Amino acid sequence: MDRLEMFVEASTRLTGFSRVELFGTGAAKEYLETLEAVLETPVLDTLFAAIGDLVTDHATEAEIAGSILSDPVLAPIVKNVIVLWYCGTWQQLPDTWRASHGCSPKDTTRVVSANSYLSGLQWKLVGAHPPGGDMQGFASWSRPPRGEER
Amino acid sequence: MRFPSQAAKKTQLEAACQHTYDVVIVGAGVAGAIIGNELSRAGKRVLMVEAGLGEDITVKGYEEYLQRFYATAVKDNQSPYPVNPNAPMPRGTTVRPVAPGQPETSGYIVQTGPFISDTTYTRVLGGTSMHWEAKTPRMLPEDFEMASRFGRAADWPISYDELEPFYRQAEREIGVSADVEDQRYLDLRFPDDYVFPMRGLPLSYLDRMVDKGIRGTEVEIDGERYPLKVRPYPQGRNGIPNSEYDGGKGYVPVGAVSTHQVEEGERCQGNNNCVPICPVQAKYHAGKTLAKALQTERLELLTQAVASKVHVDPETGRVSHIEVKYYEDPDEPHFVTGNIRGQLFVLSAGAIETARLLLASNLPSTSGLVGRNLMDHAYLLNWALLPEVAGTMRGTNATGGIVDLRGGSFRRSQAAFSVDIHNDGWGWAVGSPYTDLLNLVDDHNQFGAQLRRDLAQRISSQLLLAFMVEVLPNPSNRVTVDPAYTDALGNMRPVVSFSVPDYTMRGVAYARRFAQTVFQRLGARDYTFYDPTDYGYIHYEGDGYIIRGGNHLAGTHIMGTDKHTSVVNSDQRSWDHQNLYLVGGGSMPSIGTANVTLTLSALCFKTAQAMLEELR
Ligand SMILES: Cc1cc2nc3c(=O)[nH]c(=O)nc-3n(C[C@H](O)[C@H](O)[C@H](O)COP(=O)(O)OP(=O)(O)OC[C@H]3O[C@@H](n4cnc5c(N)ncnc54)[C@H](O)[C@@H]3O)c2cc1C
Ligand code: SF4
Repeated sequence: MDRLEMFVEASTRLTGFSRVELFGTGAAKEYLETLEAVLETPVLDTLFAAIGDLVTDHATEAEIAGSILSDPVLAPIVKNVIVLWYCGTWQQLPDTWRASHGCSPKDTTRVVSANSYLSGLQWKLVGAHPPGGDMQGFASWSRPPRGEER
Repeated sequence: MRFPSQAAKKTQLEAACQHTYDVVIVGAGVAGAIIGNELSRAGKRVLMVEAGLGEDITVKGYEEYLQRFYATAVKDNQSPYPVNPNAPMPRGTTVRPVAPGQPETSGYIVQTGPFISDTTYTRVLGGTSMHWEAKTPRMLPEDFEMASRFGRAADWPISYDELEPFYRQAEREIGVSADVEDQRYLDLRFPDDYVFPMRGLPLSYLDRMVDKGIRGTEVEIDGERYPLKVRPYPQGRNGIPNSEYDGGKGYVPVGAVSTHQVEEGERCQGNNNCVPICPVQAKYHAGKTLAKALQTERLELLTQAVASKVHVDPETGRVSHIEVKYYEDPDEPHFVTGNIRGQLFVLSAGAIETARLLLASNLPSTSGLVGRNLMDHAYLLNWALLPEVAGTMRGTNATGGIVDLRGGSFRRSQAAFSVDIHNDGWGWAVGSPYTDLLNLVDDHNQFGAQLRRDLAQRISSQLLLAFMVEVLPNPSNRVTVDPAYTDALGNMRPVVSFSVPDYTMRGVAYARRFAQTVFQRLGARDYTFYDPTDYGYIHYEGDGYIIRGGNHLAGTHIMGTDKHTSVVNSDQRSWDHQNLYLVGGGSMPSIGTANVTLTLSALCFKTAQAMLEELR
């Protein structure tokens, strides 16, 4: 499994969205590249080693919560990955984290790209649409919300 | 709508300075555009001077606005519009709380308080209409008679019935979608056979849920009872044309403006981005009116030209010329100066900028009221979670609201308000949905299926009620200038001092209780929280509230019947300078509970008529 596959596979567990939905955003590669640009090699290697275990062991949600999400080095990164998928924004890592694991100049709070904003999962989630992006059509707002959010 | 491609090649300053135009207009927002269009169509030669950048009105310029919006992390109100130090504008994110006695100078407007506002306006071609939400209610008949009915403020020099035909002209120009039967309330009168250009936009599912919950509820103030219901707002955005419009002639909506043929914007898509920019141009903006005016080839546009001084002949009191500073590059403070001449002059730079320009020009004023009586609606936000999913985040920003308390005898002692039901959830109050996501992920360690479920549940059951509370004129709420504060071109920046009157705060306190009643009826859980460290925090009678600016700027050159108590007459002509018209919200002597633009547009149609008579 290459890094992109591993990244998306792990992301399905983290976000609650399927592979098809995640690849459907068209942003997977961009998000992986964001990680690669921001993190220094040793941290990146640790992250992917942990992701590898998680994917091959078919870890349960409880196991994920007990492993990478409670690891002081990895948890802030993993949370950032979730936020990336949901709204396309990379958040600067916490100061304490930066002090011990490196402050890349790319580690700033920013929208990764116009596409990443538009394809944020948060819009899909509520049967909506990003402000300014894909549109739903006249009067769609007067109909009951679709199944997803119930 | 075709935007003549030559128009994008701007009129050059030297060329403009060679002529004496029939009319010179400063500011290409909706007010200036309406007057420019009416006069150029009637054969007059018009020059329009605009401080902002010029090529933004076409689809291409529009795309740039959108890309800038998508790619900005902090999506403040003005995020689509480029930073331009030569024609700066207020930006919500630069507002900070101030220490008492210290002016707030980090934003473009210098604020001396005590109330610090995040109110804004946009300085680009098309003005703030590029950015507005486009709700277009009329003022109530009683709003024109505040003094005689309620012993408050002053009566307007014209009545609702006198302005009514001009309201209809404005509704045609802006392209208003509404159904007359929904809008006949609190004595709002329309001719018997009137229909709006387009049918009303349907209420959102969320509106209908709120309506179901509050029907049958009555509130009592000042001995009168008011039954509650949700009503649709009239909107300046394209819906389904009404075939009965104009005696059966119908109405053709104006879609996107471009130098080439495009097919979009003919109908609103409900993508909830009206503020700060509608991606398809279904929402009205002044570029649509400007495009029509440019097609006459009698209106010239001089962009990147900041009017800096109005010169008056001391003998006659007439304006002789306007000095403009023309810049090539928004990032370079370099400029050349030119003098623009005309027979009649119109200042339509917005309530704050028009006053700023007059004050910076140091013109004599009989009433001494230039810059005074600044008004803006005070917004109070209340937010709650509904017990069931309501489909929040779909539709235009607000399709419906509770408007029953816009009028009534209680206005003798407390402010009226209208209530918007926000289709975009808690965004305005707390930054949803981004903040909901961070809260669940960062603070509650949520992920996976549970995160997906909880976030969906939370966002789509959000309810935000925004109360737009009336603010009356007060001479000490004002705009001034101070040579200590200038922009990149050396023009003095506006200095604003403002306090929220007690009359308004009584309305605010009532609004809070009203919101609690509504939430209770809906079984909604109140999450409203007013942080005492917020710049907009106000303490009133033992409770704290956060007030947000309304972006409905008015009152800096109020109209009246007498040169000693007003700045302009009912045609918006300056009492002191016979060939000068000051137009826009600044002329309004009170603002009631109507978003100001439809009314200021109606006034501009009246002014255009008066100007044509004068030029005849
Ligand atoms: C977020 C938001 C939402 C709003 N929603 C609504 C709504 O729902 N309903 C409603 O009725 N109103 C709404 N408004 C208010 C509405 O946008 C304004 O009332 C309206 O656009 C004012 O039009 P105007 O032409 O008078 O002024 P502006 O649109 O401000 O135009 C003034 C023009 O003058 C130019 N200018 C300024 N100074 C100079 C100078 N020195 N020299 C040359 N040119 C100059 C500016 O660049 C600008 O183009 C909203 C405003 C905002 C910000
Ligand atoms: S809801 Fe969308 S299409 Fe309709 S006016 Fe607003 S931004 Fe434009």
